Amino acid sequence: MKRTLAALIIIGLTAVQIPALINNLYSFELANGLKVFLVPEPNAEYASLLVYHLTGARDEPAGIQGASFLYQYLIYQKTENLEAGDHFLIMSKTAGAMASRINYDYSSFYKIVPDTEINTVLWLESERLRSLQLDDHILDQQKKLFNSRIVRKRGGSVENRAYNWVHAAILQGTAYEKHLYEDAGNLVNADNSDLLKLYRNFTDPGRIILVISGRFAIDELKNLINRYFQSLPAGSRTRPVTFFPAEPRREIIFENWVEADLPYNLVVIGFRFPARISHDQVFTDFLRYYLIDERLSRLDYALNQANNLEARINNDLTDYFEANSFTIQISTRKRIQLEQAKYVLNRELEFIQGTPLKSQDLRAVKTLMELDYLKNLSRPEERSYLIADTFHRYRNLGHLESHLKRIQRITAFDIQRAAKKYLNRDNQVILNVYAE
Amino acid sequence: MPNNKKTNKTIFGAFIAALLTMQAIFLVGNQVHSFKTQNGITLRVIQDQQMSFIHAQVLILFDFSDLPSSHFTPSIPEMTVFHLFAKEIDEPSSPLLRNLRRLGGDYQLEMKPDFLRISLNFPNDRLPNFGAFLKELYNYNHFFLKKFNNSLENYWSIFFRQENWKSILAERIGYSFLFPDQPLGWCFTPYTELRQLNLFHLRSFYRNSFQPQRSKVIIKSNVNPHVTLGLLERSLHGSGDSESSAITTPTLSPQTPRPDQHRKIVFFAGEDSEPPLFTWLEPLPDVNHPDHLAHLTIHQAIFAFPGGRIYQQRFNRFTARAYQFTSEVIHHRGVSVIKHQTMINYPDIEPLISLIDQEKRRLLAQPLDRREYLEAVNYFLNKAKVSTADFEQEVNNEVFQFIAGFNQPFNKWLPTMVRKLSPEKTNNVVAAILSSGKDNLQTDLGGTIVIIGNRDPLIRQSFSFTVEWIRQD
Repeated sequence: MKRTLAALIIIGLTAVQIPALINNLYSFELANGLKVFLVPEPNAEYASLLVYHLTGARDEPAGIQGASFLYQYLIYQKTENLEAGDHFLIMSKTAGAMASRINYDYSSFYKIVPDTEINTVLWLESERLRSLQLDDHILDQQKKLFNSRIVRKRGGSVENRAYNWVHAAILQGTAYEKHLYEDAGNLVNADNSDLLKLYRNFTDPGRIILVISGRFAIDELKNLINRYFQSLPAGSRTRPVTFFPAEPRREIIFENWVEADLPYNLVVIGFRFPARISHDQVFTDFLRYYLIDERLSRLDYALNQANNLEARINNDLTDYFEANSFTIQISTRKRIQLEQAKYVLNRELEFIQGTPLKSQDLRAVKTLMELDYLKNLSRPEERSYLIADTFHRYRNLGHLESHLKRIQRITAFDIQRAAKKYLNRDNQVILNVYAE
Repeated sequence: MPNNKKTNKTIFGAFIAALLTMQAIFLVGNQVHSFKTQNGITLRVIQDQQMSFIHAQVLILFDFSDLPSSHFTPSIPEMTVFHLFAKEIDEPSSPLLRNLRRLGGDYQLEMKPDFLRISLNFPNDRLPNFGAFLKELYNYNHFFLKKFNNSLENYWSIFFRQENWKSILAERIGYSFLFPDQPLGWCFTPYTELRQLNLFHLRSFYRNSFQPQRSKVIIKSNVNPHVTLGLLERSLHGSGDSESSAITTPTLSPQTPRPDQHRKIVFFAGEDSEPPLFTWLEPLPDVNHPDHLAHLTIHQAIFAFPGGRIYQQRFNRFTARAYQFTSEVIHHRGVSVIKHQTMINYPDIEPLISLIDQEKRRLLAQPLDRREYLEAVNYFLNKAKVSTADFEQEVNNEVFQFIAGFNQPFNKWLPTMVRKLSPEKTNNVVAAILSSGKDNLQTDLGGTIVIIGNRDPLIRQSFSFTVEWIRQD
């Protein structure tokens, strides 16, 4: 009887066709709205589970900013059947690994264990979703701990402060202007009932996507999923979300800082890059590879090989749906080297905007982008994330296949156009940090 | 009152039964084809129909037989590899790097004292380019004086630009102190001594080491193994000598250094503002030794987070601050080395060392109990299963076999070793280690500790132990 019921609850197990990229991808939805994707790998000996929440920092009301970030520290607290910290201990005994990503647009929790422990991870996650016991005492304690962590992060290095400043300037006027935990210090005074209200988003099955990979028997797994997740009360039916891509900036911003006891000089140059839902995203991704990726290292070549400036280069690209910040950070020991480095960088940027890339450069970058994408699809964590994220953005998985085709079809003119649009002076934020 | 002994026996019996099942499971996997090319390369092709690109690894075991016995010798293998592969000094452009670029440029080098591992990923249609790369690897003829001088000039500045330079440097410094008179310890040269090298040293080392017979190539993808062999044979035609003698392995000590050797604590004083990197290195018997797994079990029981003994003392400052060690076993022929690393605050350096020593000594008074033993062994077995998620894992196992001179596949070795082990055997190993170093028990427990941090706070800390200093300049 129970089995029949389980079969009824699962609505239409369907094989999703992503030929050549992901073999045997199945999906179904529970009656309460929880969406499940299964990627069986019979030759493997692991099982992985991604719980992807269609909720993130952008859902935080005023006054409790940083609450989503705090949530990742609360998931190990007491539940109906677990004491605080048990979750972590159980995972460590399986030799498994855990990872979490908290973003403005989504939050995700990933676990990988031996295949024999699939039951354990499903149960652990269902405990979190069903019965996480967050009372005032725990919340107050965790808010204080969280605050001290944030103070440590914010009071960090000059590089961090500089990066945060540039990031905020690039994304000014978008949903992402403030850093994820910029206002989290105020969380200490937040009303716990507001936090608990927000955390209901995390238990809403209509806002959850499960992606399970590895070795398992599909029928047994379906029964386990039913056992652990069908009792979650039905939440909101997810409506297709509409995202609005932001346009590039129209005015350059300059700032200079002088810092005492700094053993080097530093410049952080930021650009507003397109939304992840934008068609231009694949072209700007190409530009990032071309300029910064250490396997190609165009910028490293220009600064350190051609001009011998002994510059250290770092970069960062955010992962937001509607607008992104791409920052390049260059540091040198001498100030004159930094000025030369900025000159060289500007020439490189002007060159890409003015001249179509050579076919060999185009081919080299496209090969790396393709390889990285295929490697990601071979790794359970990245693949699970790509499946959930693609479904979140487009409500179908066709994009997984078409993304590879889009990489293959990139032309030099696409890149030149994207460079003109996103690397131009008006779309830049420049912060110089000089040693006193 | 429950019969604990009986319960434990039942658990242990169930555990052994589970192991036997696991061994059967370990045999599942992709098909592996073994070949020897005409010029002597050992080739493995792992046929994986799910893979949409090629993952390959090339291993070169170094030959130290012709190296001069001199204080600058350590830099010869490192500078040879740097000369061959550093993009920053590739002027005039070498065909070796050109071939790597043609493959797509997605490669990584791992340099250890006794071998070089090149890991590559490339599209399936570039397999012929891979053959061309191998040919160039064994026939490199691009040793130029200008490039060599550039290598010497820029080596350290390029080294410090690597993201994980601290970890690499800590390991090298540690090896140079752990194995001071053996090739395994020839991996760290102070800046000033690089100047005593000449191009001839590099060329000579290259000729001896970069031989097909000293190499293993492993390819994993959805490729036809015989077509792959044919393509590589065609590319490699005429390179190398099929009649060359078999590998003469590096002259590593077959004996594991004993823990009663005096421990060294080394500070590398730099300019970095991050918290210091704490690295604990200790030699173990190699994988062919019956006690290898017992040693790993002991380390697991002490260092594993959060169940290890160093985290069990209530309110100790390491639990509170959650200094989580990452551990790695590095295999060589004749010896393995276990490496534990964590970032740490300056004031905690001395207490951490004392705590680890204290917990190691306590093993005599309070041997591993069955729970600790089972948790450690289960961890190894589970870890092996979780690692099947990595597409590189099967290739890594082949590499491990070749490096360690090991005569059975890793996936068979682990369950076999586990079946031969018991808590009693593990505790006998503990007793043997600690009693052999009895005289030093109050002072040190062997191994080498390397701390890479900023010179100012390091100097300001007072330590009760003797420290060796290396300065960045």
